[in-house]
Amino acid sequence: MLKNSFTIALRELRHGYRGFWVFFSCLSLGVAAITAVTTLSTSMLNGIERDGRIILGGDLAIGQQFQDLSDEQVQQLSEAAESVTKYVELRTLMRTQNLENSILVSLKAVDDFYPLYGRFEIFDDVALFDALAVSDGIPGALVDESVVESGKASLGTLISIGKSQYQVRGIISNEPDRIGSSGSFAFWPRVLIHRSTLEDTGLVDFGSRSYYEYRLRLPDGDALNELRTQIEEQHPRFYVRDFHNASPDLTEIVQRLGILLSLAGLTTLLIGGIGASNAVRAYMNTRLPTIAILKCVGAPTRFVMRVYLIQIALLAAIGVGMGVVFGVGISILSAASLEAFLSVPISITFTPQIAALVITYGLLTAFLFSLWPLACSLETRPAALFRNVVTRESQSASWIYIAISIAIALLLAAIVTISAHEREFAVWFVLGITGAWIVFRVMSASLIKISQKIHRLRSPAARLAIANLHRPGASTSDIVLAVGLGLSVLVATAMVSSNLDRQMTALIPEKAPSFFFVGIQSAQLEEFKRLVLDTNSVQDLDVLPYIPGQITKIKGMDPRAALVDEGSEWIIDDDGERTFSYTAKARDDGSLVSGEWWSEDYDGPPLLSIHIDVAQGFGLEIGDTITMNILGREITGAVHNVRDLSWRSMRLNFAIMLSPEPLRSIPHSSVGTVRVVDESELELQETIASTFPNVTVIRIKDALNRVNELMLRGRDAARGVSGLTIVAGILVLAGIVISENRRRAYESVLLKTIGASRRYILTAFSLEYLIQGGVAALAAIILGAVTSWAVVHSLMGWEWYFVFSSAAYTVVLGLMISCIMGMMGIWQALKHRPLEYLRNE
Amino acid sequence: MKGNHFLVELGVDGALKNSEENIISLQNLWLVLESQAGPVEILRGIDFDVSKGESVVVSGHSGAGKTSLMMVIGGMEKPTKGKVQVAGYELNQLNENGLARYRRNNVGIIFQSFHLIPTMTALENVAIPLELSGIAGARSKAEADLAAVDLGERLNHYPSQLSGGEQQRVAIARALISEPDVILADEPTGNLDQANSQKIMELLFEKCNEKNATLILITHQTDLTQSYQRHVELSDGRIVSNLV
Repeated sequence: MLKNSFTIALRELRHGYRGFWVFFSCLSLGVAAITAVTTLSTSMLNGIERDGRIILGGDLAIGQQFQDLSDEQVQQLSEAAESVTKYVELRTLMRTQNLENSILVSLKAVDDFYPLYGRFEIFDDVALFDALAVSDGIPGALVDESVVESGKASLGTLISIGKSQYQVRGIISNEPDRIGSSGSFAFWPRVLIHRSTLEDTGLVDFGSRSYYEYRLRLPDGDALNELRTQIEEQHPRFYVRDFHNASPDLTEIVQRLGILLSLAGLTTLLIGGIGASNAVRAYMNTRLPTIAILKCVGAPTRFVMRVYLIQIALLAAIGVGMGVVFGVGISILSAASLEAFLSVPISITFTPQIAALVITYGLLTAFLFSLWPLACSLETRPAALFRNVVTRESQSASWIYIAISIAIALLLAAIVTISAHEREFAVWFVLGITGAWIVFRVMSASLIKISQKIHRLRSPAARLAIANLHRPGASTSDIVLAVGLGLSVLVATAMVSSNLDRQMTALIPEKAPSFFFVGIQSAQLEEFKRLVLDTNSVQDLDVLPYIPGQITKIKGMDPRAALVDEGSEWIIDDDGERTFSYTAKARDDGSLVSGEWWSEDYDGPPLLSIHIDVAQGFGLEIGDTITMNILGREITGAVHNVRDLSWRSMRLNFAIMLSPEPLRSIPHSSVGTVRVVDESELELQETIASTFPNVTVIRIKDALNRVNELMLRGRDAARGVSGLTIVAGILVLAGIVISENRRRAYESVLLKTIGASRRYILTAFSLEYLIQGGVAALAAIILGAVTSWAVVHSLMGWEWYFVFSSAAYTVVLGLMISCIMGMMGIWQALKHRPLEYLRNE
Repeated sequence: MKGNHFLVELGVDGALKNSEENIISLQNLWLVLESQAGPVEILRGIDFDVSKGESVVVSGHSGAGKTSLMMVIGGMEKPTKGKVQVAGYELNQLNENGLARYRRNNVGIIFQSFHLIPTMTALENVAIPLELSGIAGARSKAEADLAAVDLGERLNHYPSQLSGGEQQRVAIARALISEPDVILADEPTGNLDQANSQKIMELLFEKCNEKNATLILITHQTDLTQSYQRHVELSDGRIVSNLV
């Protein structure tokens, strides 16, 4: 029987795949999206792994903030390694003669052995150390393209770094270990100098936030693990990484980006599934007479099912295959530009696992969406042939097909969840898409119900449009679902993006500081305050000491064991050295929520003022203890009060502040903020930077601009993917329009025959599409807004705003898409002459 | 072979009738369909027996219930009340698969609009009932049967490449290929011209006689030249005349 089923299925398909282009397009678009996203994210992760040594700049990286390694420690590293390079990284202000051209940069001072792996490239093939050498008494510096593009400096420009002057002698075209930099150094524009000139800048005095980095090339792999373990045991304060996980942050970002884009790809596939379903329904409508004939000549229903299931399987295999080929093609073609855009190495990798995953997604989606129209068609009764009216008699099918469809959907959800790096995301996605499905079905069912109740319309065209919404076989549900889902992704993306913009600009507190000053040494403090206060229009100068250290115990136990809320894990991160502060005077920022401040003359055992995040994250109450390692000393303090000051206020805010003793006697530097209310910002920046070169001056405006620049890149990627879902929605709509073409043509012919004008027909049909598009847009706004709220409020913990402009353009886009696509179909329908149809009837 | 088949079918369906004198036996047959305006009585207490090899012409005005009667005999419509026994089967007791098997092995149906599968050639259309039964040599038998209806040269033509008369000949060949006990023909010449109608009727009667198949023929043609054994006339769902 199976052979017979195959034979008959192939006979049917022999007549070509006409009408199946929507099926292929929808399926292959979705599969291509998932294939491309999965391939690219895997390729990026593989690229990071493959280029691990280059990204890290060595086999092993050892770093320490604030303090260089001792000679003994360096000696130990040198003995274990084949070669060692040392560099220092810090944020500082790059100044030029023009005050406006000063920008915060990430300075890197390298030695003669740099880099150990990879090639450092400079435009015009300038040699690295020739460019950095002292020439005519001025040392050379290299800047990256972003510095040149921003117009702050160009080749030959004299720039000031701290107390020293440099000349720009080259533009960096490739810094091999840039993305492997610690902390946020990869974030700021780069300036590279020779380490021998660093001392003269005065930037690396005690307390400046410098990172002392050592990169080691080791003789063999065994030495790596052994040495790493040894260093971690001996020096727990060192930040140690090896080339196997050169950039954990980057790997995490790529993994998260990968899953987000995969889910967007999956949404595209699911929208495509609606198109595939519609295409199968349209195809099966043409096969109803054949099904009736087959049943008439004695074919059992399951045999007929098998015949069409085989056809769908073969067509789905072609669609999925096309999608996989397109997806891989897109990955290969976009790899180079993406590599440059994201600065992440890409090693194109299409493994059998990826192939199996995307093919499974594609086939399961195809079956999920095809099974129902297929099963409904099987209800065709052979008796219909006697009446010559073989039409779809049923919109329902046996419960077994409902059960199979649910099983396929659950299987798909399970695969999505299991294959995701972060299952929580995937579970939310599955729940979200299920919720969206229900919302759109409810909306379209309501539209159909309401339209059934509208009878008293004066305009005949409007009456016809409303009637068409609920006539048997109307595509209202599919149009609302497909267009709506695509628009929902678009609304969500637009609203998240607009909310982030707002966070970056409108929501900066009115009294936010204009500057952060980091690394003010105790000896400089009085002079610093005087200079700042002498500047015109400065307000709210706030200075607090800060001392690096680590939390070693909370409530007398390992901090991890005390953690009750993972949201506070950052406080005890492995790589995060915390900074603590102390104060004698109570902070008068109104943030106290429990306990009280110690008296100004308190000099007893350490007392702690902790932020509410710390209290809640570790279940701390007044009297509980925290032990810190501060510059090698174990200091235990008891919680005396809890503060709740929003981090968003941008005011000086430490998670843990101590009473003055014993920190007051430990060497430390300070951090300060100040607000400048007029145009004196640049003047103050120049004054502080030139007087105290070791102090890092961070101008909030510049920082926000930089963040904004980087956010734009992410936004472009998100828009690209949300655009795909819209394309899928349009394809589905196109498929529906095409499948309805004959019916519309026949209707328009009949209407013309009874004297309806073209305008009347056009109005009636376009009104129908407009209503469907409008309802889809409305539902999309609700869903998109809820999704963006979940991302902005629940995931990021920020305030969420309904962005009216995003909603407005979604409605316009929804109406435009449905109207334009509908018009194309109507135009085709109107072209037919009455004779063509009526003669055949 | 047929006997064996019967025994197997008996085991599966348990629906073999006791008497084998009549190939078709309808007792107090009622067919009532629901409509929005209320129930409509299509067939109203039909009692009707047909013997093996008999040819019966069924006539009546439009809406008299001719086609519905045909559908019930073909196992495509379940009667509301009454007994339907055809070729040894009590159709009321067969499930969907049983009815499919019954149609495959015992009934051949010919429609007014031919109803050939448009994506299959003439040969494939004729062979399909045997292929469904898994009988070997389906294609060569179909080839021979098509040659027997003078379509030996048109084996690989698709329905759209055949004239109306040719399509109906293919349909006759398809109906007869599994050598069914009963042929149901619903106005087989309704879509054909005079000359073709004549030829098709001749062919139909000739082939049914040749195979000793029982023929139930719905027609409006009153001038049939072929000899048939019985003329049944229906009106408003009832048999108003049953002339032997």
